[in-house]
Amino acid sequence: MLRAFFLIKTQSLKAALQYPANFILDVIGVSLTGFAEVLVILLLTSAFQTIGGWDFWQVGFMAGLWRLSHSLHHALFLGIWEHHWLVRDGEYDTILVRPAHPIVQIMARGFPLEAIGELLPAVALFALTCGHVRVPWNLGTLLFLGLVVVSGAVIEGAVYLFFAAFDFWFPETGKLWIASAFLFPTARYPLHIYGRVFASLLTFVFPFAFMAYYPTYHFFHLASGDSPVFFPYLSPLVAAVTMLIALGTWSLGLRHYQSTGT
Amino acid sequence: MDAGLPAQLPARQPANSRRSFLAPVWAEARMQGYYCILQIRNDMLIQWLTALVEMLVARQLWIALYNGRLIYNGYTLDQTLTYVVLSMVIANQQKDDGVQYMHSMIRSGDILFAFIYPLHFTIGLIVSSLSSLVISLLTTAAPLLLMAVFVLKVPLPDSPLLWLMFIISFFLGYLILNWIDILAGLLGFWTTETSGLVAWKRIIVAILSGAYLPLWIFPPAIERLIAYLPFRGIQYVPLSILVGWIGPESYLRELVVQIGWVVVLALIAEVLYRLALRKVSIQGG
Repeated sequence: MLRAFFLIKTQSLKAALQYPANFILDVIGVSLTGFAEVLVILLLTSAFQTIGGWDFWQVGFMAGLWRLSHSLHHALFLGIWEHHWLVRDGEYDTILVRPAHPIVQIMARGFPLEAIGELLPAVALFALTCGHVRVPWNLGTLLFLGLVVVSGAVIEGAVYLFFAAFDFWFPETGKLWIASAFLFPTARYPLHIYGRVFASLLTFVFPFAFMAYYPTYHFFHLASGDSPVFFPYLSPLVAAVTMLIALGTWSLGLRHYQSTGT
Repeated sequence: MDAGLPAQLPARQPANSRRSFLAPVWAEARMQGYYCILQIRNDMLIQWLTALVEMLVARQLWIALYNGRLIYNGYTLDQTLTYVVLSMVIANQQKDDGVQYMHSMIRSGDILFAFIYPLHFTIGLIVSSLSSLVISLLTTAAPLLLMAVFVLKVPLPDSPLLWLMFIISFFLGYLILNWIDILAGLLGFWTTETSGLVAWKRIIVAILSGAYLPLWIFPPAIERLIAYLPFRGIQYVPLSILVGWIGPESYLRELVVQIGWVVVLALIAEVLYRLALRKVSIQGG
């Protein structure tokens, strides 16, 4: 199944590369937003020096880490954004009769173009900042980095999947935008600037803060402020739990799936 | 849920439908109609909710940036908060429908019909964008403004003159934005690949108009450069008038500059449009 999954992904990449000029333009188009955000962080920190006590390199490192996860999420879970169309148009019928698990089929749908577009600013930002923050780079840190990036991608995908599960009951569009409204604040700036209520929301309800903000404390060896000392290491656990909740909600919802009958 | 009936049926429902054998059909159609309205309302609610979150986030960010200070380089925290929150209230009006619409017409070839309309093509686009402005002001800007005032407690000026100037300047800014939109759309005649063009246009407008950040955040040299470009008239000028960064002595100058840009952009669009016409006739053979 895994083989088929990667086969589909590589095939869609090949299909996109059939029009190389268009492909490059589209990748640049997706990257632009990411690069614009780097510019925004740079402008803000050069005027005000720090954001919530963090300088450009620290904020940039966190934003780069977040964007690495976000890029991997795009590569794996972007198909979830089409979920409501699948329900609405009755295309779920075809998905349900195939042998592979429906979630795997939905995950295979996405187009790797956006992932590459997000990866460019992520790598640029990460490469730019990782030398300027005091992170002791060794095998342990690198492994932790990989674990955090994968966990972050799973957390983002799980939250979207949770919201997409409600398509079975209310198939109108736009639910995922609520989740993404809460996603982006965690992407750019340290969480503690948003105040206690919003920080709790982003920790316990939409656990996006585990994508980059909390793990960053481990990288910087900072005292973890208001949050418990074990929070930086929770990301994999949070990813597993949110994914389980999302899958549970999704399979509950699937029982309510009504075909369009066509 | 979906019986495949068009949702506009209830409007044409005959008076004696209750006795007709079609009654169940009408009932179903009416449900579909209600469902449609409900769905629109849900989409609206989601839009308002996400905008509220974004406004709250922007407010917290700037409070954190000011870091206890009440004033930075002469720009007070209250003014900046009003600026960033209101920039989100009016940013929702600034979709790039025009350029998307034109590009889809260019690709499908429907652009041909645009040339035989009695109304000049680009003027027609401006008129239709004005009508969509009215709708979006009512459905998004008004509720967002209420949220800004009552939930976020953003301080707003109460001088009628200030509001009048803001409205005039915002309207001119909207025209500038739409002419830029049309120019980007017209470039589609030459590039044919258009998704990249839309992305570039969106980012350039967002950064240089002051929609992302107030323009004084830029280093002075770049800020002076931006002053020579049309983009700042879209958001920075109207909002700066409202919060008081542009004083009464400069109102006239700023409005004249905005009007000037509307005229210049319209003229450039006209030239590009004529060139595009020639190009299309070549392709048509």
